[in-house]
Amino acid sequence: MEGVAIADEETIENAVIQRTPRQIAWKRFRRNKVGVVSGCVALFFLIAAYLAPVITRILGVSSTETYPDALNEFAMPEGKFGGISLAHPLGVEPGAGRDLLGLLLYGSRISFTVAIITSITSIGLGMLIGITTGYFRGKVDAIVGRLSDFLLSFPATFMILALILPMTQRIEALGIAKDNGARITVLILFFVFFGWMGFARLIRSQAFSMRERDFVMAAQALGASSWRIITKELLPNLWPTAIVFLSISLPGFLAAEAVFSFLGVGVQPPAATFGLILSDSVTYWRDDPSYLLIPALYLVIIVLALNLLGDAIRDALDPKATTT
Amino acid sequence: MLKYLARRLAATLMVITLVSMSVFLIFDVLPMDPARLTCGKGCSPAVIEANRHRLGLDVPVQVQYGRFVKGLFVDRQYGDGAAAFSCPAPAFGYSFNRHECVTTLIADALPVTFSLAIGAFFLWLLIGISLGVIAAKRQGKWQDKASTAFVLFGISLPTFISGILILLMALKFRLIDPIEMGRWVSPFESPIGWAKNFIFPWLTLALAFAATYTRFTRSNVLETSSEDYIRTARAKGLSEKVVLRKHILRAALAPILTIAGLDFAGLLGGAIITENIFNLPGLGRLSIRAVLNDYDLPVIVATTLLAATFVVVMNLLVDIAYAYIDPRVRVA
Repeated sequence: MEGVAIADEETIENAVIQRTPRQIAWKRFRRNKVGVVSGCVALFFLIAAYLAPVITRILGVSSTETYPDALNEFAMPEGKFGGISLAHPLGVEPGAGRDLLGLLLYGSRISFTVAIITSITSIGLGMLIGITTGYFRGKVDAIVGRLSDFLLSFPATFMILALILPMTQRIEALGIAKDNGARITVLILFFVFFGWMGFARLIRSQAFSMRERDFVMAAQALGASSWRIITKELLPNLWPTAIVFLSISLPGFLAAEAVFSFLGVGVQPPAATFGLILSDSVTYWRDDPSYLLIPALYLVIIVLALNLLGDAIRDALDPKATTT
Repeated sequence: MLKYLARRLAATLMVITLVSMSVFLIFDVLPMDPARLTCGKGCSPAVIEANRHRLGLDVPVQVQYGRFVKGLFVDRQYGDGAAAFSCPAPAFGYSFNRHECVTTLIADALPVTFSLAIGAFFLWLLIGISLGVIAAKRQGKWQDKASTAFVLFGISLPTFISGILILLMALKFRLIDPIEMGRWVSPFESPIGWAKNFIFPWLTLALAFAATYTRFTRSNVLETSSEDYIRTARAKGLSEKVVLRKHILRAALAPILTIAGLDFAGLLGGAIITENIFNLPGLGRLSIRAVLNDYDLPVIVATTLLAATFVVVMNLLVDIAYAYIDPRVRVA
């Protein structure tokens, strides 16, 4: 017993503080002030979006109710800056007279939902396909490679534009979802369908080179099954790539959803998303520029914060960076 | 080299064929009846059936596809007897809702989209590459930081927001005449009128693209600068100008060419958002109108196929050009 105790003390004295890659990355991330701030901003907007019902109740506004009292006789918001007041913190919508904060909160909830589901699904799909083709190679790899080349030559935006109406009808006919639910489902399906290729290629090339490395060979020599090698040896090494890609693709899909509703083929009124509000605001810009600028700023802040966060995450997880 | 060209060309043709076949198949499977869409709500079944026959929609999808492909090379006949009419080759179909051959619609829209794409292309290459090179040369200095800010700004500002803001600013300061806006002016008749018409749409598109190109150029120049052959070039006494031009840029810009070619091809299919905001009668607006107004299927199919063809063909051109530009690429 004594011997063990002495050995322990010795180890403690000579110990070098060991940190896992995750701890190193986290430490590096925390030192990046821009990254931390933008992370907090993004998180703030995300939480606000999902707490929309609670926030609107606390503020005593609603995204569906109209406030005719806040509008003047020309259906324009009363007061300066689009009718910003205590009752309506971001003003009211000209015309119908709904509360702008309520609209933006519920609208950003739709955008976030589309972006998060799409990013996670397409990255999951890309991961599955990338590992399968990169690890097993052979025929599957050749076929999937051709398929992704083929899909990449499809003009995704045009296909989505052309197919969103009939596809929505089909989904409604099948009884999966209704109205905007069906439209959102179709958008997500299309974004994933046209969005997995880039990530799958990246993962494939990484898995491809990783399977030649010594630690994989050691596992194979020990008789580990392919399943075990993929889940225990490859996946932990591929996570950083997935996280970086997730943070890059989130703002992209967020803006993509806005584009389609801006063009009038995405989410339809009376729901309000960034795209719908902005395309509506062009009509009123001379009399009510705040109705254009506030939603634009709201969206740009979210996208900017997510982009900065993505950069910070990439820097933190970069294996080439110095480990301090 | 010839063998490589032939192989790539064959592959390109195959991809175009496959894409067009899938597009036809997709629209055939959909619960949409194009004949039903040719006339309004109070349409009698007899009229629908007559239109179905006239447009050649009463035959199986493979026959329709065959006729479509044939129409690309020889004039296409529609209907028979007194109601017959034809579209001259290359015929992309007939828009029943607009009573015009789709080729005519595309021929009207293509110069607009091409003008938009080509001007924006040169503008964003100019901005993106020069900012990228400056940022790389002055790494860590204020120029680098300013260009990083520009990149973030450009990437985070969706085109439909920057487009609206640029349009509204231009209208406010009377730089655009709202009545003249979106009217097509040929560059051969009035180059200044043409450029005036497109300058703000060019800016909108260039702003979005220049940001990515700045970032890409910067990292490529930095990476190339640390290569051994650059040190060799400096060691043998070449001036910094020559090193930058002949050694760094040549290698650093080759991958940018690939992306630039594909981005340009993507725009040729129609810059939907920019055309929509600036009311430009190009391919993008043609297709969005076809989708929103009356679901004009022949137009939708044609614009989709055209967009795909541009991308696939440009892919081929870029690959060929790449073999010439990048000295490291040698095709066997």
